[in-house]
Amino acid sequence: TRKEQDRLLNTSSTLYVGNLSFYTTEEQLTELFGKCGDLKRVIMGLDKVKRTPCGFCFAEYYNRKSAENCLRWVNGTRLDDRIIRTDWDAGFVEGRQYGRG
Amino acid sequence: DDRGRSLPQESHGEIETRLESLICRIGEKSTSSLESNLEGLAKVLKSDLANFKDFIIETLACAAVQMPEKVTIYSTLVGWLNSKSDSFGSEFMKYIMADLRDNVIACRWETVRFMFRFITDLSNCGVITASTVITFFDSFLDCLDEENASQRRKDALVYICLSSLPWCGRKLYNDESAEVDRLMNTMGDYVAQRNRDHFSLLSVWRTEKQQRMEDNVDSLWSQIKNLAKNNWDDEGFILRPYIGFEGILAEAVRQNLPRFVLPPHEPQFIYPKPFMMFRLFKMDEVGEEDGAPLPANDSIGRFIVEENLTTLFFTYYRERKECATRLLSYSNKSKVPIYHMIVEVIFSYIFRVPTPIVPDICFATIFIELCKLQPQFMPQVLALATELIFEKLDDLTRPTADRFTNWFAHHLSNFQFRWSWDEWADCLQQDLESSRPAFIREVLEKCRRLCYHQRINETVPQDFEPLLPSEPIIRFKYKHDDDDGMSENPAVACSRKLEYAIRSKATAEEIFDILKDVPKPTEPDNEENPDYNPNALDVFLQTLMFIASKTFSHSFAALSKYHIMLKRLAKNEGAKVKLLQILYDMWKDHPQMIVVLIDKCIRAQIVDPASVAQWIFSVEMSSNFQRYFVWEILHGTISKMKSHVDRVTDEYESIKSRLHQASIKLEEGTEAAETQDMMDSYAAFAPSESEVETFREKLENAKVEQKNLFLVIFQRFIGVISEHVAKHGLPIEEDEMMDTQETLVQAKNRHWLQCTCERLQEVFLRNETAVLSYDKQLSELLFTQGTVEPALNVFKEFRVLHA
Repeated sequence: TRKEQDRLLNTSSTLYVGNLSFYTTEEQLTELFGKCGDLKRVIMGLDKVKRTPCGFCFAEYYNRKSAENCLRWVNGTRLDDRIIRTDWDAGFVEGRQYGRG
Repeated sequence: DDRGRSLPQESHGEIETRLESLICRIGEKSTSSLESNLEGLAKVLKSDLANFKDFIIETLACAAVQMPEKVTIYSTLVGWLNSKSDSFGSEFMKYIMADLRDNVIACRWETVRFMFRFITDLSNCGVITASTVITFFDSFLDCLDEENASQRRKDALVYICLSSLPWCGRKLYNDESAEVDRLMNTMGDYVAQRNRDHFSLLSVWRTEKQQRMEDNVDSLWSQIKNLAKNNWDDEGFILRPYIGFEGILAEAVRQNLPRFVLPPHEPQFIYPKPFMMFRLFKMDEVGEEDGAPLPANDSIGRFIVEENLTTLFFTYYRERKECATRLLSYSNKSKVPIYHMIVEVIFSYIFRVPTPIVPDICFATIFIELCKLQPQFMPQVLALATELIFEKLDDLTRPTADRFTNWFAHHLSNFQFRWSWDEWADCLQQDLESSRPAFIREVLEKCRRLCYHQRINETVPQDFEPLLPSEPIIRFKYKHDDDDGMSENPAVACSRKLEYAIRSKATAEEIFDILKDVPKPTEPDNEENPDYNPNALDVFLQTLMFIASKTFSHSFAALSKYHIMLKRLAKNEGAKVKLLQILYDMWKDHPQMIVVLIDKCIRAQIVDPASVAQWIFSVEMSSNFQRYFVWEILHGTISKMKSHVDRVTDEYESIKSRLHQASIKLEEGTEAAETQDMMDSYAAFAPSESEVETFREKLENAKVEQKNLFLVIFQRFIGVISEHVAKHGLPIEEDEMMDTQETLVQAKNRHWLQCTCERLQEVFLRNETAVLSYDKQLSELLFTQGTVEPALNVFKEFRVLHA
C-alpha cells in the first residue's frame, strides 16, 4: 500500500542510483558511495536478457544517516563523467536488479 | 508581505509562525534598505508585544545565536524594543542570562560564545551600560583565579571574552578605557603563560617553516591586541545597523544585568578542544586582480571573515548549492580576496586534526559547486591552493597528506582527471618514497578506484609510469591450464579438486575430506592448535577467491557462504594473520579489494580486529607500511570495533531499563492492587535477570576485545619504531661531513620515522575517549621509561593535551 511504501521510504537506508554508464563497475560505485558511510552492498542493475549492467544500481548502507549523506553530497555529482542521480528506495528485493535493458 | 491587511482568522500558532519567519529572514536580500526593514519589523514586533512577549524574546535570543553573522541586527531590534518598552528590556535580560547559565552548564560553548557576544553588543544599543559589560566580563574571567582550573577551561572562557571584543570593544574603550586596559592585561598575562607543548601534536605542518604555530587562542589574542592598538577600529568588517537609530537608542532606559555567577567546574564538564590555525596563502601570493588585499593573519578582519565563512559553511553544508551560494555572496566579499579565503577556510576544515567535523566528501562536493557557480575564478584559485600544498608536502604530516590525496582524487574525478601533470614531473627524479612522488602515487591509485585502470594510464604523461597503479588483477598461485590435464604438482591438483567441489556445491565435510591430504609444513608444529594447517588454508582460500574473483559481490558471497569453514581453518590468531596475508598476496595489485574483503571478514567474524592489527604490523607488510590503504584498513577496523561496542552498550542499557521499568510497574501494580492478569503480563514482558546478565557479559567481552585491539596496536607501534631505531639510530641532522649517499639514507630514515610517529599520533587523537580510559595500563605497561624515545614522546604529548 501507499502508506506502507511511505513508511519503508522513511526508514530505508537503501538508495536507487540512476543514470550510470553501462561500463561503471561495482568497484567504482563502492569507492564513491563508501565516502558517505559504511556501505553494506551495491547491487548492480542488470539487463533482463543479457545480464549485463544497464545503468542503475542500488546502494545499501548499514544506517540511514549514511544514505542521507549520499543524497546530499553524491546526488548530482559525476562518476565516469556522468551526472548520477540518487533517490530513496524502499529496500532491495531479489529480482529488482533486472531492468528493461 | 500582507500590506497591512488584517487577517482576523489568523490563529495564535499562525501568528507565531509568521513572527518567527520575519525574525529569521530579516537582513536577507531585499529591495529596500536594512534600516527600513529593521524599523518595519520592530514596529510589527512592538504591536504584538502585548500577546507574544515571551515568544518574541525567545525567538530573538535564539536567532542571534543560530545566525551569529546577523547578531548586530538582532541587538538593534532588542535595543529598539527596549527603547519603547522598559519591561521588554528587563525581561529580555532576565531571560537571556538564565539561558546563558543553562548553556554554560550544558557545556555548549559555541552557543555561549555567541550569546556572550550578543549580550555585550547590547551595550552598543542602549540596553546596558559599558560598566555593566565590564562586570560581566569579570564574571567569566573569574575562572583565571580558580585553583586547579585546567587550561582547557580557562582557554574556553578567555576565548569567549576575546571573541566579543571586536563588537563591544570600541564602546567599552570610549566609556571605560581604564577598565578595558585592565581586562586586556588580565587576559594578556594569562595567554603569555599558556602551555604550548601540544601544538606540534595538533599541527598539520611539521615545522614552523610554512606558518608560525599558533592555536585559536593565541591567534585571536594577537588579533585583538592589534585591534586595541588601532583604537578598536574594526575597519568596517562589522555591520552596525544601530548607528542609524542612535537618536532613539540613546534615550532608552539602561537595564541592569542580573549578576552572573560562573558555574564552577564539574567533573562531567567538557571543554572545546584547542585547534591550530591553518593558513595557506601569504599576502604576496594574492594578486591585485583578485580584489582587495588579503588581511594579515593578526588583523581583526581575518578573524571576522574566517568566522563568518565558517558559520555560513556549517549552517548550510547540508544543502551544498545553497552553501556555495551563501559563501560567494558573503556580505564582506568585496573587502577581501573572497575566493582565496573561502578555499583556505574549507581546507582548514578538511585538514582539521584529528578528523574533519563532517564527512570529507561534503567539502569536496561544496568545492565542486563553488567551481560551477564561479567558473571564472574558483577553479583557478583552487588549483593555486593545490599547487601550494603540493610544493609544501615535505612539511605536511602524513595523515594530512592522506586527506589531501582523498580530496584531490575525488575532485579530479569530477573534472575528467584534467590536471597539468607535466608541471609535477620534476619530482620523479626524487626518491619515489618521498613525499611528493608518494602523494602522486596515492592520488593515481585513488583515481583508479573512481574510474578504471586504462583511463588513468592514458591520463598522465608517460614518465609517470613508475607511479602508476598496477593492473588490478588477481594473482592465483595454483593456476593451471585447462588442457594440460591433471597437473604433476599435487597442490595444483588439490586446488582443481577443490574448484570442482566448490562449483558443484559440495558440503563442508566433502571439502574437508579433500583438504585432509594436504601436507603440513615441516616447520615446528603449532602447539596452540594442532589441527591448523596453513597449506590447507592457503589452497582453499586461494581457490575460493579465484573462483569468485569476477566482482566484489561474487567475492562477498563466497566469503559469506564459506565463513564457517574459514573459521574452522583459521582458529587461532596466527592462522588469522595468515588468512589476511593470503588475501593480500592474491590481491596486492588491487588494494581496494583488500580493503573491502577485510571489512567483510571482520563483520563475518572470520578474523578479529586484533589480528588485522597484527597483520598490518607484520614483517610481510613492512614494504606497504606507509601506503594509504593500510591505514584505511586500520582505522576502518578500529571504527568497526567501536561501533560494535556502542551497539552492545545500547542493547545492554535498553534491556536494563526494560527490567527497571518492569520492576517499577510490578511494584506500582501491587500497591494499586491490579488484577493478577495485568501483573502476569508485566512479568511476561520483563526481561529475566539472566538475560540481562548475558548482555552484560557480551558488553564486557566487547570492551575487553576493544582494549586488546588498542594494546596490540600500541605495542606493535612501539615494536616497529624500536626496530627501526635499533637498526638506523635516531635521526641526526645533516652535516657537511656526510656524503650524498649518506644524506639520502638519513633523509629516508628520518622520513619513515616521522611518518610512523604521525600515524601513532593519529591513532591516539582519533580515539581519545577510549585511549584515555586505558591510561593506567598504557603508562605502566607500554609507554614506560625504557620505551623508545620517539614513541614515548607521542604518548607524553598526548597526555599533556589532556592534562
